[in-house]
Amino acid sequence: MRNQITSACLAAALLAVGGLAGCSPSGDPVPSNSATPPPAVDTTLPTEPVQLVIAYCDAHPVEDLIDGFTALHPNITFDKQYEDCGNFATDVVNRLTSDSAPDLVQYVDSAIQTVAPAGHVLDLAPYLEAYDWESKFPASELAQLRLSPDGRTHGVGAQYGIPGGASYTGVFYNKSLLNQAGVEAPPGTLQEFQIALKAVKNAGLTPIALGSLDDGGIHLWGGLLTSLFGVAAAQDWVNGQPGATIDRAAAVEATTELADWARQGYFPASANGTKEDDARAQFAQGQAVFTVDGSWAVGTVQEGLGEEVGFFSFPGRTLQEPVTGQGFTAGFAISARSAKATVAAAFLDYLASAQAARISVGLGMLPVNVESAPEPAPGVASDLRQAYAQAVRDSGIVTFYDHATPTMHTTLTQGLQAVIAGQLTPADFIASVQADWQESKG
Amino acid sequence: MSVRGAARVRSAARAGRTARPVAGGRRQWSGLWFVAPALLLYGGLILYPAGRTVNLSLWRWDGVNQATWRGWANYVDVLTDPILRGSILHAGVLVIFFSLVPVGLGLVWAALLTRRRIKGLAVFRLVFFLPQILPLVAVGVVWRWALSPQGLVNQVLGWFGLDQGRAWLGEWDYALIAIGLIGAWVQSGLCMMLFMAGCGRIDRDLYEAARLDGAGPVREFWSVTRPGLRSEIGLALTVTVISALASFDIVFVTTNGSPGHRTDVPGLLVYQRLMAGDLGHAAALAVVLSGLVLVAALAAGRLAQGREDR
Repeated sequence: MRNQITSACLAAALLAVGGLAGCSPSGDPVPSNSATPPPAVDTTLPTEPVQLVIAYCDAHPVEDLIDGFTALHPNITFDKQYEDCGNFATDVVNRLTSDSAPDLVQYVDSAIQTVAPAGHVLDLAPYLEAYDWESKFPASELAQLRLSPDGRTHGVGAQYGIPGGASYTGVFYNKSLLNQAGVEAPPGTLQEFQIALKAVKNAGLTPIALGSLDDGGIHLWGGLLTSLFGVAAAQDWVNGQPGATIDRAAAVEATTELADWARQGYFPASANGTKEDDARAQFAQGQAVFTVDGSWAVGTVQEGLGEEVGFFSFPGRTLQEPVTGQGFTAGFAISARSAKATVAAAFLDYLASAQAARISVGLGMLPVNVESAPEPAPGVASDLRQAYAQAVRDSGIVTFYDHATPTMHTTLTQGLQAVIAGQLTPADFIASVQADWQESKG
Repeated sequence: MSVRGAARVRSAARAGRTARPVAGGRRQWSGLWFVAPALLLYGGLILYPAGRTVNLSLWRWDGVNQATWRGWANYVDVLTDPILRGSILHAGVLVIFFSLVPVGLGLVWAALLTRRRIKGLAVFRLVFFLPQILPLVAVGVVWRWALSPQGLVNQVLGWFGLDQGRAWLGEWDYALIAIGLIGAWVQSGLCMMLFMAGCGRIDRDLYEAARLDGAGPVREFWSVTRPGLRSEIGLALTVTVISALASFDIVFVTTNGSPGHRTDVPGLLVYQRLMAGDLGHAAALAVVLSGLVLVAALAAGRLAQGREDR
């Protein structure tokens, strides 16, 4: 008995040691070079061999862009460190805070928000000037990679990343099925969209392929929200502008519309148990007339439907409103510890080149610099490009809503599932979304 | 006889220990040297990290920047936030499926086994134990397919005209039950194996005696098989209750908490909060979960020993 007490005491003592050791958890000290003003930058490249370490999760286009750059500068090689996208955000936090940080990392919003305030990410301001990036990249894309000193507000503050490829969401539609339902042209306004959905349903077809188990719900809801809420207000909210709120009638109205579509049976009954990938496959097999998805879906739907598939931006209330969609640029950031930052910056500059744009287009992706990229052949890729270019001109691109806070992806996915299942009112959903925002932005 | 005999030996040992004087009150601290290596390992690898987790649970910290003191607030959130609290309730529901159902099925199987010699036991053993040796991630992937709109479950239901193309794991009312049934499938084999082995140890004479006394199958099960399997039941309950409360793999692979937080379990939320840079809540929930597992495991063990000590 006494032995038990002794060992229990020992265990408790050790527990207490653990509990008290390092009473306040805190990170590594801030690297010194973030405090001192950066030296004037040099844009000439070294001639001796240099190797850059790069960590990324999107094998395409990253590896293609790397190969393109190395072809131009054979003395600059890359140690390519690929990671699965599922864990990449955590990986970026760990690696950028370690002493052996990679020179370049693919930009992950949530991770950069965490590590940038502690000075682990290089502020690209001097390079922005030296390379004149502001005239080479679209302003809206540069803004997505800008972050306030506390990491809580996007679009202002230091330039932590440079765009490497764009994404854009909207509506894919099946031309022959739409005609079969008696609808002549793709809808131009939200009201026309509602009429088309009803006609399709009445014709006995599935109106929208939806995979709300993961991202599908966010993309569909995001389309409705941007249309009804307005681009500027929506972007302020995602950016984390102090005082912004989504808890307004227009957001409730957008969610009510979604709930209504679910009630009307515009989605398959299995939507909540279907992944977006699987919904895309259903659409590509001709099992639904519409699907709301992103530029990354072009390959799959084109392979399945060929010339039968088209794309339009999510319609607004009227034809006069700006063309809108959600998107985020897949960018790159440089570690504050990198000793080869000037070489890494040269790679970032390459991303704005016409050659890099050709590589992106060749992969069926949206190029960073729409103007300098070759026009794709007519078809869904061309539809998408035109829609995207118009949205860039209209300043209609809003960052994906789940970027608003680190927990927003879960809050939106799970909440929208409950809305689609008819178990959560639109007003309560919007309130929970704002509560998440408030918790994070304080 | 063996039980009572053991008790007698134990009490004798206890008497001996107290009877032997502790050398004038001096304790043999030199003994500590012998346990030191184990103690260091256990302390360094288990207790110290556990203590750090407890410490972390009192802060708001993203893992990189300055932490702010939260005190008990994270624990208050765990007990009041509907999502965090809901996950604990869901774990309770899973105990029914992961633990009570398999133990029940295992006992039925044991009861049948004691009534009749069954040929080809080795084959049964293999079939029952198969789910146990599969990685839970693989189990999850297979069942996700089986429960999908075009999956096996709907095909079978279709034979009876019941296929409505439901995605069972996306259904508001059925998703958690579906996960529970996957768990029951996994754990039943373990319970049956344990009880099969246990039945082999029960003295056949006891059954003969019971039958001579006119006991039916139910009486026989209740009076001979069940007491004979007590330690196996305790082990099965302990293992399965822990697996239910600490479940993560199957849920992560099949639903990831969907739909609308209906299948959130504590293990999943600890992971999600960790990934979202909310270490304080993750640690607080982990501490609460560990406490629950500890209490449940002790209770299950006590339940099994129960009458033996009396």
